[in-house]
Amino acid sequence: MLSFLKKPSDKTPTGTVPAWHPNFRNFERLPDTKAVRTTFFINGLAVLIASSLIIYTGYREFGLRSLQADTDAAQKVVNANKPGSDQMIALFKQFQEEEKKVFVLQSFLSSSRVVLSDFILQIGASLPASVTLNSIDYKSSAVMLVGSISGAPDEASGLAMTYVDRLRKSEPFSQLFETITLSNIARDPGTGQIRFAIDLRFKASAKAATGGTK
Amino acid sequence: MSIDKRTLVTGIKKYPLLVASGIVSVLLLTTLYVRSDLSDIKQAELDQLTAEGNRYRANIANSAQLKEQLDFLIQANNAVKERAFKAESMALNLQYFYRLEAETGVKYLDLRPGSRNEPGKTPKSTGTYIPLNYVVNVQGDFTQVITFLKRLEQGVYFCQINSAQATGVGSSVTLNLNLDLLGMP
Repeated sequence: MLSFLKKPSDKTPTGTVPAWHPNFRNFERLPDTKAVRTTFFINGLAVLIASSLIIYTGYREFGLRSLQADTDAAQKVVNANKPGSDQMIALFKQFQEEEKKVFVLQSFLSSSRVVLSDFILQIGASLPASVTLNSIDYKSSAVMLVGSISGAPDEASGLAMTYVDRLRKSEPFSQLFETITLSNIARDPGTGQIRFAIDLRFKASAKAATGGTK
Repeated sequence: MSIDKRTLVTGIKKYPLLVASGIVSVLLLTTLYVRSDLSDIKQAELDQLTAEGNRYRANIANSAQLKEQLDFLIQANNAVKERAFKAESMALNLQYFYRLEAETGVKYLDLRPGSRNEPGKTPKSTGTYIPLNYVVNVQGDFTQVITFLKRLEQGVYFCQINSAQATGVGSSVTLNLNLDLLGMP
């Protein structure tokens, strides 16, 4: 507030006049007068980078050394187990050769649908008293039973159907055969007996299920 | 822009820590670059060796009883061999049938090698064993024929009946068989 009360001077102001002499100061050679010098930061950063790299490289080298130790241990395991394993592989190849022989034998035996002697005995046991078998024709796909029935023709034909039903319901036969059908029934003019033919078709996957061992 | 030796020495003297850190950093970066693939290579090597070691150990563990099983299998196969005919001993093989005839009381109406292995023909080999085909036609009473059939099927030698036809006239039964006997080449 006092400045406004002062009387303005007639002298020209000297403070606003630019310096008349050149500035000879060499700023590069002048000391750094900051509270913390710039060199400190530069050195600090350089040391920090170098330290970080040392730590990182050390960590990686330690990891590599650890990997090398694991690799050596794994190599020891391989060296210790390889001879035993090779021996077992050789044994297994020998086993496979022997196994092949068993498979060939199995294939030879498995083509048999039934043990024929047991099958004939079972057929015989299933026959009713009035039914006589004249022939049994066995093939790999089917069995044909041809026989005759004594008695009155009307009863005999019924007996043939009953016998076929009994075969169908009988467990060993139903397990073995896909279809059991009365394929032919006719009266023999010579003997007067009813002659019949029963066709038993094997199931596709039927194995030697009818008794007996080989 | 070339830096002369003096300036360089002066610079090093002026900023020793900076220069040392720079040199160390450059060396470490070079080392890291050069050895950058080593870790992957070592890891791959370790994985391969571990897998190999595990496989070997599994082979040994899984074959714990292999020797015993192999011995058993060899023994079983030797037993099967003893129950197989020799393919070339045709006359000796027929002796088997004649012995059966004598033991069971049936009579042969026909006995000959089948079409699959007639004399002079080599039977089709299925590997270790071969089927020796025979056509056999026997006659006898029911008991004799069944006994014959049982001896054939459940006897010493492995027999496979391909087809059979049994016909009965009175007490006599005729059995016509086409069969394979297990043979060895």
